[in-house]
Amino acid sequence: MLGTGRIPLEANPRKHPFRKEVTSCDDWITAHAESASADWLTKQLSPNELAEKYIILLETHHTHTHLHVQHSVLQSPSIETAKTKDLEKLEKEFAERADRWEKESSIHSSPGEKFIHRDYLRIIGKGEQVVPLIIKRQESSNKDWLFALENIIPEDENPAKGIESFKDAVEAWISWGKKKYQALA
Amino acid sequence: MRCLEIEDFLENLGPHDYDQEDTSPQTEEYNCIAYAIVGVTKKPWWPSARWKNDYEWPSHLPREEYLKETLDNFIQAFETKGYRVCSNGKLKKGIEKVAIYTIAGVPKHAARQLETGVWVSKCGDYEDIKHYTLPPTEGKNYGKVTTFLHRRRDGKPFLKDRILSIINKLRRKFLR
Repeated sequence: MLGTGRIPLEANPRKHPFRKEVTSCDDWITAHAESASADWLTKQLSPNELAEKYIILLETHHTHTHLHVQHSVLQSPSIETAKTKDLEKLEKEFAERADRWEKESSIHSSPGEKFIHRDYLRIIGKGEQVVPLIIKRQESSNKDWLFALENIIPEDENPAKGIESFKDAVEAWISWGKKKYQALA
Repeated sequence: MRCLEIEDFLENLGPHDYDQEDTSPQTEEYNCIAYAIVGVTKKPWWPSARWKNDYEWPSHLPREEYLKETLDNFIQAFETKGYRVCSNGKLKKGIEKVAIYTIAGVPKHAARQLETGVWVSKCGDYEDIKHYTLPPTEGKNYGKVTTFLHRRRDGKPFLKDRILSIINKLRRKFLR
């Protein structure tokens, strides 16, 4: 498991060798969650390194399909009526994982321990399709959802780059999110 | 008040391992390290490189990458408040002790000993609890206690530190 998980995907993520075997992001994560956690335990990789190695690679066709649906839905006049079953399913799963992460990670003082939680990594693995959900969540939550955003959105688009206060960074991300996903505004 | 979440996540902690009548409200304002070093504060302590304004850490010590924090950095942070490494957590009159928990050498938690011998822990964003011994709080989340530190409760330095301070003064005088 470890061996296959470390084939240098990072060299060219878009051409990773698992694409043919993978049918969805979930399958990918399920298949690689074990090797990711093994990497973390044995090599002491940081969440950033893990995300780079395992999560950012999730640009599968499945993700793009979801992303396409998400964008078209958000651009329509009425979000509620235009919601697809897929989107509802995604929202439900996100809410479940987010609730569980917020509860279970709160036992830690170590920020890194919070971010290495299985549900948090899975949410990152969902890619850009969950960004509007994360931003909406961050509006009412004081937990650090920004680490997930930082690992989904390309670094050069990070609206909170250089900001050293969580509160200010939250404001920057929410404002960015409202501009990008007009339905949130 | 019984802290059910904490009991859930600290698998070795039972309802009789801590004082249910004396727990704090849940808060994210401070964390276990802050609580061990200075007590109730408005800021958590962690050598976090993110949100530097939100995490207290001595300015001369390094900020570290997540999950790669070093025990030495934590020890030096405690030393800024008069703590010195010691060999055990046995209760000693006039001495305040701190226990640092680690997993694979990486600090995860800290507890402070009260004059009664009871230990206090701020459990992440949850409550701070008074637990009678250290082992019930050890486990998969906090790891094991690997380091103890102590300082005098009256705030005065240890004799060894006073002697070192005198030697340093003499050195400086003769070097001139």
